Amino acid sequence: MNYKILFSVLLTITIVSVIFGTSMSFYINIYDPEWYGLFSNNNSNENLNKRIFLIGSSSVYPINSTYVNHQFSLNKINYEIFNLADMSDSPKKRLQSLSNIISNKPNIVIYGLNIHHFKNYSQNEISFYDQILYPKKIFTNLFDDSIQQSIRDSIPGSPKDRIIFTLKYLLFGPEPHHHPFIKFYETSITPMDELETGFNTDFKFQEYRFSEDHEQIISLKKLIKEFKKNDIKLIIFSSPYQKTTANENDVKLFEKMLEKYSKQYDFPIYFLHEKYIGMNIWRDGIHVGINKDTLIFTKDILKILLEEMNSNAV
Amino acid sequence: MLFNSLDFLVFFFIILCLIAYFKYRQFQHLLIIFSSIFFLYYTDSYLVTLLIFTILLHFYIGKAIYNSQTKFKKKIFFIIGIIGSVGILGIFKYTDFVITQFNVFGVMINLNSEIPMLNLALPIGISFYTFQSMSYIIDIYRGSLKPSKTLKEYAFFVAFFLPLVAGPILRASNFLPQLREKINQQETTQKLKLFVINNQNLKFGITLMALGFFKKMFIADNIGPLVNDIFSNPIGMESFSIIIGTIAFGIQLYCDFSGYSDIAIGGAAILGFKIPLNFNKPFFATSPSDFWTRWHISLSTWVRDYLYYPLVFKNRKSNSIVFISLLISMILMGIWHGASWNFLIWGGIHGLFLACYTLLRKKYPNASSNKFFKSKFGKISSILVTQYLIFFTFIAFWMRDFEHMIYAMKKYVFLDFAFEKTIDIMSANEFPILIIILFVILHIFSYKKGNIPERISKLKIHYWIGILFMFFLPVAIFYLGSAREFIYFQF
Repeated sequence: MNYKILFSVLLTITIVSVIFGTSMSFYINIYDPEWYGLFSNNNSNENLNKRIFLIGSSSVYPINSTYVNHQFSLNKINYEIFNLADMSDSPKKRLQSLSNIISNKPNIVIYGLNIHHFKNYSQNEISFYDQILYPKKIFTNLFDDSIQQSIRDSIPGSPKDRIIFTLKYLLFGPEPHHHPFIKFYETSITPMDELETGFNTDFKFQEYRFSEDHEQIISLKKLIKEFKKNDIKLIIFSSPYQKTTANENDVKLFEKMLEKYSKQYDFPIYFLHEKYIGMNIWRDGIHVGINKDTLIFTKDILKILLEEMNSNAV
Repeated sequence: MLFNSLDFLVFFFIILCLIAYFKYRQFQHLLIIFSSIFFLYYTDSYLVTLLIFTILLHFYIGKAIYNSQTKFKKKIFFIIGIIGSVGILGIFKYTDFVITQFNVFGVMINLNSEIPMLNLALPIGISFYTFQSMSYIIDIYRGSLKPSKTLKEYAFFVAFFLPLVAGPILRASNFLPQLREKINQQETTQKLKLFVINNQNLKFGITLMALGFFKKMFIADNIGPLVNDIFSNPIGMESFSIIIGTIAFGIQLYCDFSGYSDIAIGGAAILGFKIPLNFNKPFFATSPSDFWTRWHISLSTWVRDYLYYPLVFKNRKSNSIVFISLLISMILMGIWHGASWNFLIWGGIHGLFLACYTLLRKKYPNASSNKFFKSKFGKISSILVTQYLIFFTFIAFWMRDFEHMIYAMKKYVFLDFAFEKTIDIMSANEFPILIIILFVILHIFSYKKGNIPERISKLKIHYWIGILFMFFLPVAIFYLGSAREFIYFQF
């Protein structure tokens, strides 16, 4: 075998991987609310409003920032909210774009935290039956959860969407200015009985861990400290789900953990994770639909923001 | 184990390393056989037992046919073998379809009971390896092939993991000699080939595999959303939307399936095997019969050799026999794809096109030498008319809902000249539309330039790396986030 050929192929794969990795984290790190694109006429508009950055994963994406901004302007509140939710976001991933968030000087950061960020990735026991029938599970257990998780953390849900967004962002600015990272299109609401059928197939409780050494908790604490250090008011809420893979005990531990950090670092905390269970507003088990009939979630966030603005001047 | 997954790349890399390191033919052959069985076991769990059963059945039946002294005995063994293959395929692939039809008929005649469905899992690759095994015993029965002398050799031929799940369908007469060391003296030597990975094969194989990944992961997977947008609910769509959907699906299907074939052929080339081409620029076909010499070649030649020729053999001069034989062959080819009415319709339409074309050629034998058809304009017209007909059949290939299919076909044939919604669809799917344009340009380029993978593989190494980079980069940065299954896996 010619090692020159093999080396060439490996070199090509390495270069492609480097370009891929760099381009994936590029967008979220260069995001600027004042950027309207190379070929746009809007770039002269200087906005004097104070900024609220809404961050979190796709589960907070349905929050309609246009609606919130409209309410702000109706009530003459000098704020503008940007929904910076990003697919598959987690505290660890968000840490990578922290400096960019801070450099854009938001006055408030409202953070939707998902219980699913705190899964325990230590290897699960696979039954003998499963080992024999589904050999793939052994490999998934060996490699996927441990090794690939760290790779997965740095890759967005859809690299294709990310690269197209990046190109569009550079050329024409973010497509929806207040929802820059995920394509904003209306989604239908899945009927409850269909959702239940979906849950019943392949539903399995997972293991969660809320100890101080969990990498997501370490990252979360770093985020909290950095916001505090930079005088950015932080509000945390638990993002909603219709059904979770966490059992009741883990949900309680999740609440306790947030309460603990809320006291320790002095930030307000709101629990929304079980608030909408049973309501007809879901796209799937962990995503509220993007729809005019699901505004309840957006309205609750608006209420939280108004409450916090009234309770202490920000 | 999907070809477009990390699992496969790791699996293939380990096999290559082991083959390069351990240069003992016994080891290498056993390695390929066991890793092929592992490949299917990893993909399809316990259903791998069907593959093992098929190998054992056909190997011993093949021997029995060959060693039988009387014609009658040969026939008996041959029938057992055919029943074995068709039986496995029928039970796993078509039983529920047949039960459903019985139940529908039962409802029509007010029978108040239903036959319960078997709900059997469809074993991956079953249509491919049973056809491969059938051709083996048919060839032995016809006397055109000597049976494989060792089970190891036969198991290698049937289970070889690269073409195992979605073809190309191999022929024993073509593949077995490649397994043996001295091709010209295959009957005097039993020694099996030692795999030596040489530079030219390695470069050619990697190029073809890279092209396959590019076709599947960049072109087919990124066109898919446009096809789904239009075809999942075509009612109310304009004619031009349906035409765009049809073109998009034709390209998606081609890139998906020929991408798989390229990866299989490229992988096999690295190991020193020549697997026959499965596609040859089908969108430049100038007639329905030309199309079938360019599209899924391994299946169309199988159907021609083992189904159409025997049907038509003694009555080649009878127009009605030719017509019916073509229709039957193509309908069966359609059903081979899946137990569903839409595939039967797809095959039926192709059969009709082929039959009409064949009869027209019989009636006007000199038409092809006509000035018009020899001119550039004539050729382009032939291509356009043929492709219009071929793309029409793709509607039936995709749509299982009868109402949707009829609506889409009507819109495809009777143009409504409305554009409003089409423009909306196009502006919502700019990226897939760009990819379609890119595909058309690349396809024309490859048609004009000939064998592109071979040309690329003969380039100097730094140019070659540049081309590989151009294949890999779009695959990586336009990756959809999860490996999409190949369309032909379901068959």
